[in-house]
Amino acid sequence: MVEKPADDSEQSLITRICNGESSLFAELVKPYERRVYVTALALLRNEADAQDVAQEAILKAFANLRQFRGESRFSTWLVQITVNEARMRQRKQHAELFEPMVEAQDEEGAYTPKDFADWREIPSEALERREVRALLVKALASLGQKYREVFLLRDVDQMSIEETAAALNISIASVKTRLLRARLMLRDLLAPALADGWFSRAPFGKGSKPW
Amino acid sequence: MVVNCEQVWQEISNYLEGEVGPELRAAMEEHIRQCRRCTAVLDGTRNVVHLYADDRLLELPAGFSARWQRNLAKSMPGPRGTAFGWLIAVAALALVSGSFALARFESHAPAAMRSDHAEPWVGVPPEMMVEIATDGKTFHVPGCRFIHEHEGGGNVRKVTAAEAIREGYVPCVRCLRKYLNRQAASLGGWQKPLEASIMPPLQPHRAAKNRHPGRFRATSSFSSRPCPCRLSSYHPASCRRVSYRLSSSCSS
Repeated sequence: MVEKPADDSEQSLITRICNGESSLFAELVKPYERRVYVTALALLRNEADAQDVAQEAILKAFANLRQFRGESRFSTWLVQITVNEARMRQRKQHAELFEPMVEAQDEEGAYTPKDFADWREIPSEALERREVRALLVKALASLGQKYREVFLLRDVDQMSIEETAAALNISIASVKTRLLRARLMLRDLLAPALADGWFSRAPFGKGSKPW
Repeated sequence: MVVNCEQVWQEISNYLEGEVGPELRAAMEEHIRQCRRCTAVLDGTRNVVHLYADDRLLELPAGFSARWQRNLAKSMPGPRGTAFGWLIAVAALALVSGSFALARFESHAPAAMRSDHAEPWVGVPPEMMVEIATDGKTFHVPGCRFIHEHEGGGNVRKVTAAEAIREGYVPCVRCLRKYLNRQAASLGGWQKPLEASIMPPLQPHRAAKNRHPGRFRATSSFSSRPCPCRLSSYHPASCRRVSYRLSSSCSS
């Protein structure tokens, strides 16, 4: 697995923290706090749990900072901790009972995207609308976990394919496969609602419900 | 190179990532140009990637940042934190020991005068001989029939009222009430003020003033402290309730 090592300024920050300047840790984590939270939210699908897990992950990272070897980026390591914490929480809550059934689908099998009308452009102000955001979040939550986590790390957190693979401890090939599937599934979920006339007629009018 | 729809769908994600070779890329673009369905799939997938990349989609909850930084500060042992911790510990110790000292001091101070309901024995002469049962809770006028009925006649003994009170007994509401009323009546009726021959010279308590604000008459012998005998409070001569109080033995 090819990965960029932690960059220099981060590495020196980590060294200084390990040498006693603990207060710098907040500075180190601050750029990644959103990523940690979003990762936790992706796995747990519950804001309160996600907040808890993100907090725990950050504290755990601080407690175990000495074990960080600098073989990967600090952010990847932090996300890895978050993923582990979140999975632990899921096991405790028996979350697998509440997972969507799409897990049962074969990952390798070809996925046929549905034939919809064009969905050419999205006005950027679409995201200003709470309904649109809620729709996107809901669509994402309806994906199976393995698609959800890959999609979140790559497309929401903007981590690279390699970092995603490292954080989730899966191969790069499966990251790519799952990512493709997740993107196509989300397109199928969202296109009917957002493409033909989200802005031209009542979004929740009869027959236009995407779910 | 010619590709079909399935191949395009299979590679669409890599195409967006820019991870397909130039030959495949050209072939895909050629196909997409002609295929309406594949155009829709590409546009839709690209839209998905763009929409979810937007920071506005998932916002950090309010206070999240502050919360983890606070928790972190709590968990880290810094030099400044330690000194602060010591300061708190010392302050807490001072506070606790101070309150103990205060409590000790307070317990030696004369108790504040309480209401008649809190001190049911008010008016009972302390030297009066009363009967108590070892397993009972009340003391009685000798010969009270209720002591035998309820409190195991075997262990009855005679003590002074003061002693019974000290041991935690309270007056029997039947016999002692009657006894005290009789005593008061024999002294001219409880509605009339008692004469100085029975009561010691009147020394009104501060509490007496509080209890009977309308009827209190200031005297020169006003005492600012509650009576240490705790059995009586001295009232001005006109106080109606003074007839209950027979604590003539109190010397203060």
